Amino acid sequence: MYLALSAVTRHPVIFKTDSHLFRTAIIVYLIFFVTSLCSVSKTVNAQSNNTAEMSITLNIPAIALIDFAVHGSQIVTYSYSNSEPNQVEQIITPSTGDNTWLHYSSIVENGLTNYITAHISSGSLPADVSLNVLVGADAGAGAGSKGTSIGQITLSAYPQNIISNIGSCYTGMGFNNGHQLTYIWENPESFNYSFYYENGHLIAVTYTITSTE
Amino acid sequence: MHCKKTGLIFVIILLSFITASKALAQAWTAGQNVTLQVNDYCLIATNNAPISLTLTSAIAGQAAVPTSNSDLYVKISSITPGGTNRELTAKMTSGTIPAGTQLTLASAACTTTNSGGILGTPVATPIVLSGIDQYLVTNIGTCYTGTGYNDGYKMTFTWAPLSPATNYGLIQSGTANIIVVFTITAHDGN
Repeated sequence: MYLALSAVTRHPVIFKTDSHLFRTAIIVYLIFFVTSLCSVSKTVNAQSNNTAEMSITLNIPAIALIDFAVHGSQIVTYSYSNSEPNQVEQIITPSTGDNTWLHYSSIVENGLTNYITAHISSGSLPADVSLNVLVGADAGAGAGSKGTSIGQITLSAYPQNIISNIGSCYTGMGFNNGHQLTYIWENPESFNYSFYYENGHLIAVTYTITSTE
Repeated sequence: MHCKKTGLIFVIILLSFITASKALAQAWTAGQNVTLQVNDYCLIATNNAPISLTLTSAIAGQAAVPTSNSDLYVKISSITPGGTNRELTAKMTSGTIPAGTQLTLASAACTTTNSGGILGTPVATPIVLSGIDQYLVTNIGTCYTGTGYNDGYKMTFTWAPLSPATNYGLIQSGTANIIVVFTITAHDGN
């Protein structure tokens, strides 16, 4: 505005004709008028658009959690460690039968999966006795990309895959949810459970959930 | 001589134009300022509380547990012409909500400690944040919320699995950053 004004005040010095002077004065006046209109409308726009911005962080950690539910009143225990929630241990007796349900919660990174292994982590069996576990398919509770069970394996001291290809999912908790575990003894009469129990040599099986990472 | 005289007259006319327009401009600018302060005045700010949400589960067999954050307060000052209202809206301008999840946002009624005026009504149903502005608070008139850290409209963000029965498998571990923009709209008399 003031630039326009100072320009106008200098103009009379260089004007040569009256009509030229008058025309220029009108033009400068019009420019000044339009410029002030524009500056007003800008101010109105700035006032009508008031915003505040916030940044939000959303974090999904990878998880692999495993646990059991065990049916009935049996001489069966399991341990669960908060420091190692990806591992649980179960003491197996001839009466454990099919009363165990294995649960897990899993969230995986893109391109990875989790898998579960089983091994005899404590105690040893007589040479003519073997312990199998039949891993059922997921019972259908929960949601997501649940794992595929391998069926039946003969347990040993070495971890073997029992459920693989676990994506982001959860199985639900409690009895009749997750994968049912059925223990099948071969030649169990050779396994003197009472003797083992009294001497503190119980058979324990550990289940571990691990990432393919 | 005649020419000089006419020239002088035009200079006088020109000066009168300038004086008149200057006076007009001043009166107009002053009038506009009054209009802005009285009829169309609004400011918005937040307490800039850092917001970080983590979606996880601590129990085997359980789904990831919905998580909430209510640390953010939005503060406004508003003056509206009689019978007109403003709205407080929110949308996402950057980032993507992780697959298989949804982020909702709801406003509480304005705190009462340091506020006054027509503070509006929060929308009862939480909005599902998207790229499109949605109403959080409506019918805001002339009011102020207070300027303290915990003054204003308390915003609750809730992040949860979306339709887990079908979508839970889409969830992947990782981190996403999004930007949410709050807007106090022009009064509806505009």
